[in-house]
Amino acid sequence: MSRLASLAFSALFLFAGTLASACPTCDVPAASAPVADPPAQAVFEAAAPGALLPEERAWLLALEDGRLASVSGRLADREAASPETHLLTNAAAWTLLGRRATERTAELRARAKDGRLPEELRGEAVALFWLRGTLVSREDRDFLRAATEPKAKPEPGVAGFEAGIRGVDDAAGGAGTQAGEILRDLRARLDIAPGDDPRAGAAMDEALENLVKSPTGRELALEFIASGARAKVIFGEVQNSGTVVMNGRRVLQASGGNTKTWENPPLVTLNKDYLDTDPDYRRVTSAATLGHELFGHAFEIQRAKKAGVSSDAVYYYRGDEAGSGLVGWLVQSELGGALSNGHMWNYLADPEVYHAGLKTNLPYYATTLSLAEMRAPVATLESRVAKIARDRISAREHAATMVAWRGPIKHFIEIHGVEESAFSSLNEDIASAVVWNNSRQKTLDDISAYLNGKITAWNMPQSAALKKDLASASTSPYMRESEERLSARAERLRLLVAGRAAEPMVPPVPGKITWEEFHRMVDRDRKDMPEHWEKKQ
Amino acid sequence: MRRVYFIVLALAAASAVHSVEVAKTVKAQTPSQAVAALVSHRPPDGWKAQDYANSGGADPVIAYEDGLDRITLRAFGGPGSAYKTPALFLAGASASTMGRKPENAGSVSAAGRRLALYKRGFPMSLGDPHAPSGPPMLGVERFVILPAAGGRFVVLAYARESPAPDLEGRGDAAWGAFLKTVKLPGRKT
Repeated sequence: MSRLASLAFSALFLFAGTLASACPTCDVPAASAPVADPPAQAVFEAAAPGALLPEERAWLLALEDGRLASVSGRLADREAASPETHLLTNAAAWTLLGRRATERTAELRARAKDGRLPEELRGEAVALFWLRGTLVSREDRDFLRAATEPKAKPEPGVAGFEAGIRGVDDAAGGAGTQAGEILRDLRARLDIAPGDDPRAGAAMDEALENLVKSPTGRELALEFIASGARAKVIFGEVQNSGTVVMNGRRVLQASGGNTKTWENPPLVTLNKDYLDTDPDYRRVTSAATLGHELFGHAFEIQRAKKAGVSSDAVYYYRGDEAGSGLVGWLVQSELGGALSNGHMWNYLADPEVYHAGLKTNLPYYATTLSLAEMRAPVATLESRVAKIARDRISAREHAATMVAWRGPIKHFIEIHGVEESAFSSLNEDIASAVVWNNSRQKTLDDISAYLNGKITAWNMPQSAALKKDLASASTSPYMRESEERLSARAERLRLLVAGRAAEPMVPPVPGKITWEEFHRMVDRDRKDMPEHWEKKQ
Repeated sequence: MRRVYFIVLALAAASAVHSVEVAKTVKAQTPSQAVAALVSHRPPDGWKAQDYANSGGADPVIAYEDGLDRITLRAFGGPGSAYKTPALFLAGASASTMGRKPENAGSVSAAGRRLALYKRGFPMSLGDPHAPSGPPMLGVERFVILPAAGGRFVVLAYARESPAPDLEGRGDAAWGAFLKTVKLPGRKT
């Protein structure tokens, strides 16, 4: 950045600050987390993650020759009747975003051929459906929903995949009949006890139907039926559960469900709070959860037992969670759901990174083992205790290095006259890092205590049989096949999400300095003004 | 060659558990040996070493960690690899920010070549995998793709598990120093 550009940059922030100073709300830091349950008359938090697609932001700022301006992460109306009402409310933003979504849907509809969108436009339709589907007409919503439906091609080498690509909606042909039979046969293998809620029966039917609409769900349903597996499925209580409204849809903010694999048959619980969620959200997400629990955990424990592998070995095998996760992600992707799960992207990028993340996530995952680790479980857990100790230091380092940036921020405010509000995103990241470190230390303490307890137990003579069992299971045909299933599912998922991305990513907020920009500013100042940096900031 | 042996021995000592599994699934070669056959390097001083392999042993990885910083060498392009070519790698999930293409971030020199530098974000500090999640916090990874022998290629990367850069630049310095030690066998660079 040239000196002139630097000055212009600073002037922009000063201008933004002038606008902001007329309104007390503008001085409140912008939201840095997704806003749940936004009241219609509250100020629209345009900078919150997921609040706006980048193209929506550009569209809003171009409206009526720039009537709206971005100020401190919100949108200010230059023609507002009074300074108190100059910030756009949620209700006003939803009206505008609904208008744009309607215009874009009309454009997409015009470009569809035989009702199908070209692949390069499908991503926009999927994003519009999940983010703005509640702001458009029913007709438009139905058109966008159709765009989320998968067009997956059969993959050679993945058993049953071709059979699975024909959905239950295709009722006119033989495939529909076959799908109906699969659903009927699957239901015959399940003890369905949805619960007392009158909505639960229909919701369970819907989850099962949608599950077998996905190619992966249909393939696994065939295998589940053929193997003689069984399960009980219910809607039930999940601890610390609740729902919130995000982007106009009521969504779950808790675990979607769990499976008691030690029961006979395994008991699959879907979170009963799904019954309160948005129908489109539930259509995809409850089916993905059911896939994860039923065709992941509940099916695998029965495959393992049939193969002579103990439930203990499955419990400690890290592939059980990964394999179930992959089933859920596949179903979610195949049903046109949003691809926002960070664990999924980490798995696709590098499975070991995914496993490493889980090991310091919850105490149970810290004790899960790879096949090689199953042959040396105590040494593995001991190495993890050491890793937890390093992670504790890293978490503290993370917070400390973030806090250290307060010095340069202060320098640019005091010496270079940059508006303090321009740093609000960075200051919130710093504050979040401090809070995160505190909770992280507690989590790591819990994991460390859990690991030490396991190490003590596994060093006792009574655990010799368990260790022998784990070692034996690690070389079993079941585990080898399980690893092959992981690879096949990951490969299919890679193909499914190729060309797609998480919707939406957080665009940079105009008027707010990003970490990258600030790093460049510091580097430039260090070079141009070394005297500024001779003393401690 | 002595350097290669040094790396292999150091990694074998640091992470015996990971190497056992992979060595048996493919051939009698640890992941660090597989990478070392393609490219030599000097490990960053004092960083914790680990090696493992993905894709059933086809994609070996050497990783060095120091606090929030991580330097990796990932070899692709062999039989069974998740990515047969650099172009496929660049178009795939491993190079992306949750599916979005990596950004161009200039260029750097390694193994006597000028290589394009890319940048991507990766999800960090994730919660319960059973709970739906909103947009996660992203750490930053920078990487280059180094073509190696036999159609293979090695992705050299520096990742920092934080949205903010290191103010003191220790990780950056280690990454820069590391790149200078990377060499392709048979090349005087």
